[in-house]
Amino acid sequence: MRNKVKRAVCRVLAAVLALGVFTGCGMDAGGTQQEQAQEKESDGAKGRYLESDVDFPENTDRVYDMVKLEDGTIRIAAEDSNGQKAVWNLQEDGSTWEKGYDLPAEEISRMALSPAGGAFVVYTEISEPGGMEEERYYELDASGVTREVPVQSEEYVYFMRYIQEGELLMKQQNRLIGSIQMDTGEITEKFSGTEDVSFFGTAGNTVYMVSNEGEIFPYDGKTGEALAKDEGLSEAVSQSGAHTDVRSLECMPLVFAGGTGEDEVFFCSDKGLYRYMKNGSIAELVVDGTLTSIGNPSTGLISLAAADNNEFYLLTVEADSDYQFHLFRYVYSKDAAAVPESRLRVWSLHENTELQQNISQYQKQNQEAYVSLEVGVTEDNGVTDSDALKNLSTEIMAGKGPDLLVLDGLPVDAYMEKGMLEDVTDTANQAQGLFSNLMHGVEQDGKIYGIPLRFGMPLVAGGREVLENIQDLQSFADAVEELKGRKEPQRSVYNSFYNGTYLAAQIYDSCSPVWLNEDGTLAEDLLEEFYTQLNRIYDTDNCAEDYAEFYNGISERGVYSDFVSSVGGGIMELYNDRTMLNFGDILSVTDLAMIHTTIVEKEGISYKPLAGQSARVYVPKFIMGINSQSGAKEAAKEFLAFLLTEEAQKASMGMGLPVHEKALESMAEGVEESIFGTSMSNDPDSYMEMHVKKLDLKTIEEFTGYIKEADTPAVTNEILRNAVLEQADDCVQGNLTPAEAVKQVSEKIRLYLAE
Amino acid sequence: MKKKYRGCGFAFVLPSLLGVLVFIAIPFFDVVRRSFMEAASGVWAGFGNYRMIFSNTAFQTAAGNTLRFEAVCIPLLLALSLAAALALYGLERHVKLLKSCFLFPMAVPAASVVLLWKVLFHEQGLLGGLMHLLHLPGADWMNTPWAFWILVFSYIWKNLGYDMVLWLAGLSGIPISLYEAAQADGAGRWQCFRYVTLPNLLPSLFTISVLSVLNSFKVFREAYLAAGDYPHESMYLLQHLFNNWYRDLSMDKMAAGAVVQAGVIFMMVLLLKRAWD
Repeated sequence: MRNKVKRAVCRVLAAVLALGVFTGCGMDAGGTQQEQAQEKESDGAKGRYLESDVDFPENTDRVYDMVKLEDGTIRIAAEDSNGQKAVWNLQEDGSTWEKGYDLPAEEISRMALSPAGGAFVVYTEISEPGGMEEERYYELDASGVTREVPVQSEEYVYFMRYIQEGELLMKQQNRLIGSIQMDTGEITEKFSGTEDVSFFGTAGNTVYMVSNEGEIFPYDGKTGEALAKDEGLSEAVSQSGAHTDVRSLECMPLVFAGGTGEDEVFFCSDKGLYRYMKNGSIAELVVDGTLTSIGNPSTGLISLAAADNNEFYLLTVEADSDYQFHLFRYVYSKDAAAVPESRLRVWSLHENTELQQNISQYQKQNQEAYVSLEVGVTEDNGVTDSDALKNLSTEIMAGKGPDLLVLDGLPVDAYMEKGMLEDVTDTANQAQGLFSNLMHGVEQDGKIYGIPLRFGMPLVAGGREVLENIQDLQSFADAVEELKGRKEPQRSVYNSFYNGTYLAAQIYDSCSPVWLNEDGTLAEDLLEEFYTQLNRIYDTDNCAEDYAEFYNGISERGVYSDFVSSVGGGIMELYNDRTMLNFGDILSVTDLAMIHTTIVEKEGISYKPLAGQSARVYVPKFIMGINSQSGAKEAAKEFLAFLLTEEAQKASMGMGLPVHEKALESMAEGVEESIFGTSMSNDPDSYMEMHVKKLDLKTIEEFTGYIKEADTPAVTNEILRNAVLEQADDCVQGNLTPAEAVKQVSEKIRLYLAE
Repeated sequence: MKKKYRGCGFAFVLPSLLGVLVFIAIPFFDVVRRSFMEAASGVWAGFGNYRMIFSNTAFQTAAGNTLRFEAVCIPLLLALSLAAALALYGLERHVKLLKSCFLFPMAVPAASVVLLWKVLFHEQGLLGGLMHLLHLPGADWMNTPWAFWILVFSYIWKNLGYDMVLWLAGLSGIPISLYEAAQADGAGRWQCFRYVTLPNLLPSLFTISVLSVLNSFKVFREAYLAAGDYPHESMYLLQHLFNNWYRDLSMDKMAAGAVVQAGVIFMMVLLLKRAWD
C-alpha cells in the first residue's frame, strides 16, 4: 500500500515537473497567439472615427477659440486676413458658417467664448508712442454688445475658460486661478491650493486643474470647492503617455470637454481623444492619435467640443507651418476598418518628430494606411544604441523586422553587404524636384539603398577678404592664424565657447570624406593632417575656463550632436562683433536668414561652403531605407515617395534642410522677421540680439546654387566620428601629438574596421 | 520491478532532458547549421564562413586575447584558490566569516563592479590619485595594455571564493587516516601535500578547472559595461566580437565563430579528463 502511494506521488511529481517545463513556452506562445487573435479580430473589425477638416469662413487667418453653445451649435472666434474679427456659428450642414456678431477691431491678445453666447476678450494696446503695452478687458454679451471690464491687475493673463454656467475663470502669472466679477473687474482667487497648477480645462461645470507633475485635480467650477481627487483620470492620462507640460500659451497639452451625461468627460492629448466616466478606472480611446492629426507633433490643441450627435470638434494650431489653424471633425464610420489594413512599421534609432509629422500627414491622406514609428532609444527605456540595434537584429532575424528603417546610426555598410536593404534607385529617380546630387549617400555599385530626407552643409562666414583665401583646411588654418595675430580687443577669432572637441566637430564634416580609403582602412596621414591643422586653428586664449568644463562635460557624455556642429551656435557672436569667423554645418533656413542678416547689416561680411580636406561636401541626414525582407515593399516605396514630396519635405523643424528644392525655397521665403536673443545664464553681459530679416530671392538662389554643386557626402559613421572627436581636446591641449591622436583613433576603430 | 523503477527514473529525468534539448541542444545544432549558411539569404555557404573567420583579423585578435586570458587566469586562479583553501582548512576559528568574505565578491552585481573599476582605474580615479601622491604619472588604465591585467584581477577577485569552497570540499573528502599513515612513515608537511593532498584532489581539479573555464566567459559582462563595444585591444574578447557581429547581422560569421569556440572548449575538457584519468 505504502509503495503504491509512493509510486503515485512520484508519477504526479514527474507530471508536474514536465508541465512546468512548458509553461514558459506556453506564456510566449500564448502571448503571440493573443497577438494573433487580436490581429484576426482587428482584421475583421469595422468602425472607427474618421477625421475631416472643416473649412473656416473665407479668408480666415487666425482662430482664437471654439465652444459648443448651449443649443449645441459650434461657434468659433476668428480673424480674417484684413484684420476683421467676428464670431461664427457652424450651420447644420457642417460646412457653412453664419456670422454671429462682429468683434472690436483692436488687437486681441487672449479670448474666451462662453457657452452662453458671450465672450471675454483681452486686448493689448500701447497708450502712447514708445510706451509699454497695456491690457484692456472687454466682456461681450450674447448679441455682441461690448462693455469694458475695469480689471485692476497688472498680472499677465495666461489663459481663460468659461464653465458651462457662463462664469469665466482665468489663470494669471503669479496668482491662483480665479473668477472675474464683470461689473467691478475684481478677480477672486476662487480655487485654493492651485499654486502648483500648470494649466486647467473645463468639462461642464467641473474644472480640471493640471499640476506641473501631470496630476489632475477636479474642482467644482461654481463653488470653487476641491472635489475628491479622481485617481482614475490621472492614471488614465498618465497611462496614455500624454505630455502634460505646457510648451506654448497658444495651445494646451490637454483639453477637456463635457459629454452628454454629467459623469462623462472627454479629454484629448497628443495620444488621442479619450472618453472617461468619472471615478472610473480606465479611459476608452475614441480617436487614436496615431491615425489622425492629433498625433502630429506640431499639432497644438486649443479647444475640444463633443457635439450632441456623437461627433467631436477639435480646434488646433499647427505650430510649425506659419500657425495654420484647423478645425477637425471626427465622425464615426461603421464601414471603416477599426485598424487600417495597410500597415507599415518604421524604425528609427532615436526620436524623430519630423518623421512623426510626416506619418501624420500621410495617414491623413491615406486613411486606410497605418504607419507606426518605433524608436529604439527613448527617454523612458534606458537602452543604449548598441542594445537597441541588437533588439532590431533579433526582430529582423526572426522575420519580424520593420518595413522601413531610418539608417542614421545603423551599421549601413553591414546591412548593404548582407542584402538587407532594398534597391530604391527607382524611387529616388522618380521623385520630382529633388536635389538629385544629394541622393548618393548610401550607394553601392550604382544602386541607391538609402535616400536622405534632410541634409546639412558645412559653411564658413566672415570677412570677405578672409574667405577669399580659404580654399582648403590648410588655408583655413592660415587664415585663422592671421586673424589671431590681429589681437582685436573684445573680439576673438571664433566662438569663445569652443574647446578642442567642439572645434573639431565644427570642421569634421568638411574633412571626413577623405579619411577612409576605398578598402575601408583609415587614411592615417590625412587624419594626422587634420589634427595638425586643428592645433593651429585652436586658440588657447579662446576658450574661457568655465565653458571648457561645460563642453568637456558634453564630451564625456558622448553628445556629439547637431547642436555641437551647427553653424547656428556662433552666428550671434559674429553679428555682434564678438568674433571674426563663424563656421559649422547649416541645418535650417533660420540659420541662413541669420547669416543673411549679418551680411546685410555688417559691412564686408560674406559666407561660402567650407572646404576642408574635401570640397563641395554635404551631410546626409535622416537616411531612409527599406528592409529587403519586408512583406509590404510596394507600400513602403509609396510611403518613401511621399516623404520626398514637397508637402512632406516642408515639415522641417531645424534638424536638417529639405532635399526638395521647392520645399527649401518655400521655407526660406517663409522665414519671418523676428527678434532673436541669446545669453549665457552665468554672464549677464553676454546678452546679444538680432533682428532677423526675411531672405531675399537673390540669397535663396545663391544658396541653392551652392547646394547644387555639392557632390561629396560626409562620412556619417558614428564610431569614426566619436573616435576622432574624443582625441581632439587632448590633442589641442598638448597631451597628445597629432600622430599619437591618430594612433589612438586607429586603435579604437581598427577592430571595428577589421570586423 | 526493475523496469518499473527504471521507467519512474526516466520520468523524473524527462523534464530536465526536454529542457536541455529545447533550450540548449536544438539551438546549438541550429547554430551549427547556420554556420554553413549565409546570414540573410540562407544559401548554403559550405566552409566559406569558417575560412572567413580564420582570415578575419578581429577574430584572430579576439581569439588570441581569449586564449591568453584563459592561459593566464585559470592556472593563477587554481593556484591562488588552492592556497586560500589550504590556509582556511588549517584554521579553527573564524572559518565561516572568512569563507563569507571570500565569497562576497561573487555576490556583487556586475554593474557595481564596473563602478568600482571606474573609481579605481579612471584617469582621475583612486589609483591615479595614489600615483600622483607618489609623484608617478597616472593614466586612463582602461585604455592602456594594463586593461588586460585589470580584467584578470577582476576575474580572480570574483571567482577566488567560489573555487576555494570547491577546493575545501575536495580537501574535506581526503581521509585523515592517510595523513596519519604518512606522518607515521615520517612524511613532512610538504611531502603530505605532494603525495597525499594533491593526488586526492585530482577529481576536484577536473571539476574546478572546467567550472573556472566556464566562469571565465562571464567576465565579459564587466568588460562590456566598463568599456563598451570596442574596448582596448588587449581586452577585446571573442564575446565582444560575437556581440558586434550580432549587432551587424553577421549571423553566419557569429555562428561559425561560436562553433569553433565550442569545439575548442570541448577539446580542452576532454584533454583535462584524459589527464585526470
